[in-house]
Amino acid sequence: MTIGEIIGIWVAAGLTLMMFSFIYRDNAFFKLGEHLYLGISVGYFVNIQYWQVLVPDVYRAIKVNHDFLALIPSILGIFILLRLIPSLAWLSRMSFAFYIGGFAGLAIPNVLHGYFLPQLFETLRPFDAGWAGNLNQLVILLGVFTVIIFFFFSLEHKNVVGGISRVGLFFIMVSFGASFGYTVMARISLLVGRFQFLIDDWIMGVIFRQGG
Amino acid sequence: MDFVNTILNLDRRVIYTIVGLLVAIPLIWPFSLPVIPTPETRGIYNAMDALPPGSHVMIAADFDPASKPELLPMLEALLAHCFIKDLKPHLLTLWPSGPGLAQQAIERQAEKYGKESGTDWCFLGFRYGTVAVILGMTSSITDTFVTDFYGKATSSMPIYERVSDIADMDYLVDIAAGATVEYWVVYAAEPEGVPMGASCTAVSATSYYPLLQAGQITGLSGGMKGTAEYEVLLREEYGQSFNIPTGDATKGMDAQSAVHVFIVLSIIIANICYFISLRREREERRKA
Repeated sequence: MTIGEIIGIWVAAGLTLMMFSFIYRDNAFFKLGEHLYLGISVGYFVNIQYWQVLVPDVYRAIKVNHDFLALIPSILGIFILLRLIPSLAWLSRMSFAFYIGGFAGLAIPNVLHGYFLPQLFETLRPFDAGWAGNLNQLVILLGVFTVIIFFFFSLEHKNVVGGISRVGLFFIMVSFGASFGYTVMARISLLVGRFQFLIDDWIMGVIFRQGG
Repeated sequence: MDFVNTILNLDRRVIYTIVGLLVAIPLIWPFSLPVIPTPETRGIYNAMDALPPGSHVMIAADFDPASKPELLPMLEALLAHCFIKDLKPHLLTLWPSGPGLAQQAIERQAEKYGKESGTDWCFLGFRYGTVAVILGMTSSITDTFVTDFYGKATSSMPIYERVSDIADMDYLVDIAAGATVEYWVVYAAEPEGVPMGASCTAVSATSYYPLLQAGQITGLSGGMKGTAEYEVLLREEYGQSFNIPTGDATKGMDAQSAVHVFIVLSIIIANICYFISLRREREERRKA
């Protein structure tokens, strides 16, 4: 292990413990770690934007490759920044109109073809998959129908509509429960990952110099 | 104060301490609970395993260090599977903070299995634009990524002699910490007719089950659990012949299970205590 790696592990372990210190109470070490994280993230993203977008797609495209079409998106990009000057802010609408129009034109057919229709076909599948498959299909149909009714606000949710929307609410609660269960699992996984780092890399790998 | 009140007024730091101990102890003294692969994870594994040698697999490592424990072991396992089966992985990331972890993973696995960059694998790195990048690759991979992560021209690489765009890929896998699975399905897998698998953080797993149920993805690996299942499948089949050690996700599952048991018990006990306290309050009001 090089001296650079050892310093890196000590810094990472220190920052991890700084963040964990919030569990006890809010404190200066946590704030320092939090601000460092935010500052480094912003610096990293500015750097990435500069080298991955501005240099190849603007500077090199225009100056080196003489691709003057690159001026159009560059000017539209500058228009967005003009929102900071109130008297010229209206120019940004052109950029947003271009972006939203272009992306909507691209996304609508693709999303319809690649997402909406396959999901619709699967929801409206014929009942020909055996009793277990058919039961599953019935539950899916019931779930889709009742949840759509739950989010249908043009009719007051009482009597039959109210009853159906309550069934929809039940499906939504089941969905939230599943999502929450998975969320708990994800958060514990992150904790496990940090503990693996602290135990394997820092304590065993650096402090006790084992397996390194 | 009796047990019911103690539980209902428990300092949250006590719970944090118990959770911390339940994570640390199994990591130091593992008790090796079995990890049983589910059909969802087998869907990716079987699709990868059925590919003939020389097939091209595009792997998108769309995650960053925040999701490392859940997704990095999956990337390592997928790359190991590719190299064991002599498949050619084309690795890229649509996340600006993704290249560091992806680079470590592919270099580690390529070195272990003696594979050469540009011939057996290619790390395309990161390109800004998400959907625009995917769409660009449906026309030409080498035009979208003119150079690989190391600055070598992709058009001169042997790996791109037979492959020009995403439609030439035999399998796609998105390892995603965000919403990129939908982009890959909508803009690459569905229009280009390429089979696809998805590995995601546990938080987003429920959002992708409809894609699995509709057959739009062949398999789904959710969070550390899915990753551990993939590691187990790989070790069961190739562990001895390729000396594959126990993966990080599998090692973490003991701690995961211990905390889950604690959370479930805590919910049950806290609810029982809550209802007992409600009944007591009602009885006291009646007496008054």
